[in-house]
Amino acid sequence: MHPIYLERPSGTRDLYGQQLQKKRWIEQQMIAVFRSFGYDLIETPMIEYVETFAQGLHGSEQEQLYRLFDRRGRTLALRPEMTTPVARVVATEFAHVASPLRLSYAAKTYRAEEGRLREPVEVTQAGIELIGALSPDADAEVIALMATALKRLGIEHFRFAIGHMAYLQAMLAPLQETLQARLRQALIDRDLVRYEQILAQESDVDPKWLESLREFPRIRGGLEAIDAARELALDERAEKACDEWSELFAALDAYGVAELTHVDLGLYLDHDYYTGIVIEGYADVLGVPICFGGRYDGLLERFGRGAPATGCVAHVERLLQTVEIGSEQPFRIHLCYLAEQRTLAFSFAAYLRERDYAVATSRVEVQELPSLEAQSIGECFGMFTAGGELLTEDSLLQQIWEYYRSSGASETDGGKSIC
Amino acid sequence: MLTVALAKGRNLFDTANRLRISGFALPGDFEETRRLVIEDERMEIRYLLAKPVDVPTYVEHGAADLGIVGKDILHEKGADVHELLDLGFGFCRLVVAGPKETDVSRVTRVATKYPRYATEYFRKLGRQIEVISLQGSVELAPLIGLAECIVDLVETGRTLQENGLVALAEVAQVSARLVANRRSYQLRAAEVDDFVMRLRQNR
Repeated sequence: MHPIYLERPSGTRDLYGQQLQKKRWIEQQMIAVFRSFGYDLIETPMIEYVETFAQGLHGSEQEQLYRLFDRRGRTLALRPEMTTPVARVVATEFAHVASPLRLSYAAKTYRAEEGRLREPVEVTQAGIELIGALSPDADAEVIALMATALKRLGIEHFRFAIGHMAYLQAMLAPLQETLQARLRQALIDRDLVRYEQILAQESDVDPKWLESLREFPRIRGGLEAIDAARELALDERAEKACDEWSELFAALDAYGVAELTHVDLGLYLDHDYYTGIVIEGYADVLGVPICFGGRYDGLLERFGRGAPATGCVAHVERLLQTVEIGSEQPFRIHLCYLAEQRTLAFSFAAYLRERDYAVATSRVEVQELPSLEAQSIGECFGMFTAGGELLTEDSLLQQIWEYYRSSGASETDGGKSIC
Repeated sequence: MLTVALAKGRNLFDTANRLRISGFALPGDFEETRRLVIEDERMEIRYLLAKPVDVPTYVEHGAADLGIVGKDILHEKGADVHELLDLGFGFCRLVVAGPKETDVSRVTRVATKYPRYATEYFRKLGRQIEVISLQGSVELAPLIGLAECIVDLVETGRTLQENGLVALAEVAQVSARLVANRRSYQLRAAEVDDFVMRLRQNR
């Protein structure tokens, strides 16, 4: 058996080579799109006091916090998400900065246990928060921005499901609180069978209303679904939510992304802070959501700066499984040299690096071509002879070398001074 | 094309029956075939015949868009899927069983194939029990003193009776369920809803 020092903590992974380059590329592309919509980057500490997260997370989420202690015995936690830390910064450091504030990040987040689907302990979230904007146009902006980012990554087939927490709450509101809680939990668990079983046990509810309650969570679709939601609406609050949905769709249409979205009346995101429109994004090549978000108008208030807000995050590791294309690999060259050819090798390497080749140099003690494994697959290999010539089987490297020698670049190039 | 994972074994006969009544064309040898993948080109549906315990996994990861599987397995696996329909067949009771003098409220060791159900049931009674996880012939456990009682599925109750055990309390009633993958539920909403509607109309 391996000793423990050779193992990774469970739920974590090592990333390197092409996968890591692809991940960095994804983050860069997303941040570039965030910036193009006027979002500034923000970085917050990996750790916060648990009390900070308690403002934004409900009980079962708090159980999942990755906790540690500082020297005074105060409990800290590795951040499980970025929205709450960003809200803290906005309420404190940015207390006097006028809203709307547009902030973005790409950051690792942590949870204590591997969840369902063996969800990792460490998850990279790339996301945005739009703080101080109340209109459905702000929600549309967040969705349009995510759509732009996913397109930029080359993901072709994706869709956003759009729910409304206030609509759900308004529909359930006339019921007893304990009954509401059971129905809510059934919706969070996506268990419509249990949801309907609970309703079937209720005898003192008006049958017509009962029918509405039973039908609405299954309704998904475009504008016609909003009409259906309005038909079933029980009070002004639910109707107001329908108005917001309609306006959101008008704004999404203006952004040209309406066809990438649909309404899901039963979509219930399991975060304590969501108050309005909520979003979940799916790509057809992956069975699990790739992004989620929504409106959280109450969270900032809990930090002492009341402000409406909305946001969305993408799960970068899942994007990594979804994205086909990736960064362009620089052409990699490996040059070997004997000690007496050091100057020549270094100045030729510098010449190549200036032209965007990736060049590694290794000193060898005898002039012989290393084994194929040592040359490493996919890499172009060259060896300087004692006479100052370059031996290589790669025709491109051969050509560059000949040009370098003949053009006199070897004398005039700044290679030496760079080294 | 929709991919539907079906549980082989106990429920397959009823599943096939229900699909046929609902207008899906299945080959005549569907229940006996050893093929694992069966295509219905007219309805554009592909069926995967899987071990019951694997059906939630196929659906959760999106290898299948839909699945038909018993609630017992679904709950025990804790799969993150949409549970859309109670199909009303494959009906079974999950019970606490033991020698008839057993006091359920004082039990400490329980043998079962269903550790999640067992733990949750006794927790509701305010009991923290020790679960002995077994793969089969669970009825053996109380007879040889491995556990005081068991939590297991009962269809007719004959196995219990022949081993001198009685059902002491009901933990849950289970039946076959239609489940959907989270992505498929959203991205293929029309196809999924059509499938649901057909099965719903032919209860």
